[in-house]
Amino acid sequence: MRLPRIVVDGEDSSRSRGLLVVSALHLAAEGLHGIAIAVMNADDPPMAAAVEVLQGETGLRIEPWPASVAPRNVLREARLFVSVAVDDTAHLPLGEAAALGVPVIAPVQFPAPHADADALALLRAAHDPKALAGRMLRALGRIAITA
Amino acid sequence: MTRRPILVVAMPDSIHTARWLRMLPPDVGPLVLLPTARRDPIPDLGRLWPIRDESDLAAMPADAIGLWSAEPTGEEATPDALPPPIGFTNRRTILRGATIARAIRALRPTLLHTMEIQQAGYAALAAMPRLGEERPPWLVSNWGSDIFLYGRLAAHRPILRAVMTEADAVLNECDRDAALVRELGFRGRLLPPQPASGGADIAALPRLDALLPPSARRLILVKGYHGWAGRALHALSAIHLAAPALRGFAIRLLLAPSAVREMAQRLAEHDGLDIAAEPWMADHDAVLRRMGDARMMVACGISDGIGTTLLEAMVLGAFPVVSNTGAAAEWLAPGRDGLILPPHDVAALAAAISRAATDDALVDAAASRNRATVDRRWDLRRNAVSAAAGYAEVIGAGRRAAAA
Repeated sequence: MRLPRIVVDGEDSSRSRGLLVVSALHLAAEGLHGIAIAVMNADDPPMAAAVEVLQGETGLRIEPWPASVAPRNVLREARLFVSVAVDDTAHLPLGEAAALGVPVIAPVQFPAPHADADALALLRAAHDPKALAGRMLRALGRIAITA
Repeated sequence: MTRRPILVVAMPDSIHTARWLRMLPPDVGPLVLLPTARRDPIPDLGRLWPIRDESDLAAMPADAIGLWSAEPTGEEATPDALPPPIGFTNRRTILRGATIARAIRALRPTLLHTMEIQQAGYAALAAMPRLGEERPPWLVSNWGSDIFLYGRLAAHRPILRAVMTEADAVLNECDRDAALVRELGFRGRLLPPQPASGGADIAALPRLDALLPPSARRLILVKGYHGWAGRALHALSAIHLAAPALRGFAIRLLLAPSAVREMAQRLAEHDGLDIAAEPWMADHDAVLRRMGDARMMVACGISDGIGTTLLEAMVLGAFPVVSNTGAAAEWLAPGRDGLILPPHDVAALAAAISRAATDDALVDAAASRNRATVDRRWDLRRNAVSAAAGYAEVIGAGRRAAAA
């Protein structure tokens, strides 16, 4: 039987904070057993190393995916998509996620002043991996860690 | 007759290499540095003397360090079939095992000392099958993350096992790694741990009573490395969360890449903090003066040994706020002399930074204890004696094994 899976964005750059997402996975690990975690954009060497360390330390089932694979192919049948963006979410595959019915948690570290209430509610999670971990676990119906 | 040298394979542009080589007493014998890459040697190495063969060695002045300078030929052009360090796409720019074998055949060193494993140590491993009876004893220095991080990576673990099987002696930076090298199959001599840099001339550094007490200082230094081991962007998110406690401080980032500098700019605009990246300083005395102006030093990362920045912070009164993935807990009492946290818990790091920024008694009380610890354990003269004794022990054991 296939495990339920979530997808996270591993890009760590001036527009995404993939290593912060990996830290959230470390902190959420206890609640993520029995779930496969697909990491998009996992081929940058620091991210590949971080993912390997995550797997070794937590025993989580991790599937690293290179940037060359289309997001649609990774997102299919996912239970959740998680990313941390720096300024905005324009570079993220949110359209594909919506088309496939995949719920999204995508906090933005420095949202525009006119950002909506949903974006403002995620401000803490954009900088605090423990808060992001709590959001992920709640979205999956798992017991959330205390933030 | 020329004394046979000690061949040290190390990064030529590293302050650790320079400090180690310049720390060693002259009676250990002539030293020849075989650089791991064609980069300019750091000026702190002092006088260097080109070495191509034993006749160059015979002519080398007593105050010089030899620098292997023979042009590569033949098989030295081919990179070793070994994994590169993280951040390198291949080993094309890294020293070859064939070059180490050639230098050993030419100079007949009493000891091969590789400082750092993924460049120097792997190249020495590739040299071993090329050597017969001329193979000297091999001392492996394990810097910071060489085993603690790389030992968890599938591409590197078998290579580390092979290094540990071949090595005659290992010099770790911290007690933590003793068990790790044994797990990798090492059965040789484990020398007493020492920082990668060996030691510092503590007596030449300013005394604490010549500096402002930490509680009166308004500078916060943050290690800027981000990527394969560093997590400076985590530290900056912590600073964002702690911003209300940090107004009135100058926050400066050390050795920050562009993504970290950009984030600092955003924090300056968004949070109204005085935060910026510091330019790289060639003058290490200036680096130390800056540390002596700092109230705290923040470092976040998933792997380290005993970082030199931490030791410099401890000696000059800057309160350490660092990750638990290094060896800080072997040097200071957590919660009393520094705050040590998991690298993934940014909220806890934010709380620690806030505390160090506001608790004057905490940072002032830690300063003298941290100074005393580093005085005792990072002193150039004491550690030089220990390093020379380690060399003598490994060389002596090699001679006895060869005679048996």
